[in-house]
Amino acid sequence: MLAGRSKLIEEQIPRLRRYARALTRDPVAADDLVQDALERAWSRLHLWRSGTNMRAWLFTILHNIHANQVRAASIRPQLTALADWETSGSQAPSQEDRIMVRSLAQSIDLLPEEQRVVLLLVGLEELTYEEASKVLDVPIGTVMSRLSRAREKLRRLMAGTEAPIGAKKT
Amino acid sequence: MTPIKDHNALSEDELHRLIDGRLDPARAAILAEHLRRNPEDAARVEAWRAQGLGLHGLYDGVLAEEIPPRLRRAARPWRAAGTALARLVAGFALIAVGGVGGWALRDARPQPDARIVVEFAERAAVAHAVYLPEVRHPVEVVAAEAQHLSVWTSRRLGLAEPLRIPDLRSAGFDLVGGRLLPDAQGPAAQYMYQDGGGRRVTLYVKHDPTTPAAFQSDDQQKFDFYRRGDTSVLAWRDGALGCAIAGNMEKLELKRLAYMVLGYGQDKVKAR
Repeated sequence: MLAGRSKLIEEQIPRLRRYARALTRDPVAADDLVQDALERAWSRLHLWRSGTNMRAWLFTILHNIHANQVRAASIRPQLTALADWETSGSQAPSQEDRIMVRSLAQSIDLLPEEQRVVLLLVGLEELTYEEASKVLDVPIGTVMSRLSRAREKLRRLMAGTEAPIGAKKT
Repeated sequence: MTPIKDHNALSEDELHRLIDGRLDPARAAILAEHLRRNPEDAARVEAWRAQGLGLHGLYDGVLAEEIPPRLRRAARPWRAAGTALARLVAGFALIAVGGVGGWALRDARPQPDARIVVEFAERAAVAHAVYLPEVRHPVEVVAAEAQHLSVWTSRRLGLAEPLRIPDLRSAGFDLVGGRLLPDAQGPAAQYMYQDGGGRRVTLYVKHDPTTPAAFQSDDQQKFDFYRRGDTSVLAWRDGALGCAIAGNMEKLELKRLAYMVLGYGQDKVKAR
């Protein structure tokens, strides 16, 4: 029984890592976050009901840990730490792609946290709106409005038609 | 844009459902037709879609990465517990077979002695604080004589071979040099690094193969963290070496340096 569950948990590790990497933009901090989430999942495994959505459950745990950390630190990792790995992806994008993608990464950083999280859960992790609503513990309508604001703000930031208010040094 | 009951009207939500693939095909076709006639909406939808592709471009590489052992272990802790038990049994077996000595048993003792780690980290923190402000004599042997520094400190630590002094240059820290210090039961080496802004970190290393595995973790990726005034210390054990890195910086930044010392992409401190 335990083996079955640990397999279900293990299967989610790559996606948890991807989400954590996008959230923290720091490989070490991201894996720390995933490790914390996995350890907490094990300590609460009795709360997980067999047959329900393991992925949403794990993302919920990870999200809550991260939200607490953000609240506690009320700081985000600095942009400067990113440059090293952000452009050194395995994709080896063309110069043009790289410029586009970099400005995407920087623009995401300027989104309010609650919008950023929805954008990553839906746009990157492709959770359904229902799953995202469960993970974040907010109504679906709230997910939709945050998603809408996130995408629109991001579009304007990238198009240069919106000044990044509260922008940090880059 | 507000949702209207009219069959052909569309809501903002539906545009999102369209690009997220959460719309039934009939409705999707109607929206596609709408977009053909409304270039402004079409441009917005295209931009949103491009955001999604961009996100995948940035982060999908993570999916192909090998999963770090510590995460695998965290996903099946019962197996890790089994490993620890096996090691303990192996320790007993060694003694039973050869009477090799007590150290194997001590090494396998699962309960770490936290006090030892705290005291070790304390000494590293004090040593850091003492030499941090030194202008004229921050080190005994300067980085220009790095090879001599390595040979000398390794011999005094009692290592069979010289250890490679970790290279932290990719994090912007150059080696200043090092010195020998008295630790609890013998010498410890302190290596000092400095970045372009004049910030200093010190790496404190001692050799003690008989010490209980107080802060040994399976993959040596777990650090014990201490803070003393402005100084943060991360301590860990690497084989027979006790290591502590100290710096007046946030834990995360220090941790990045500690990983570098451990050889993630860099030379590894190791007594061979």
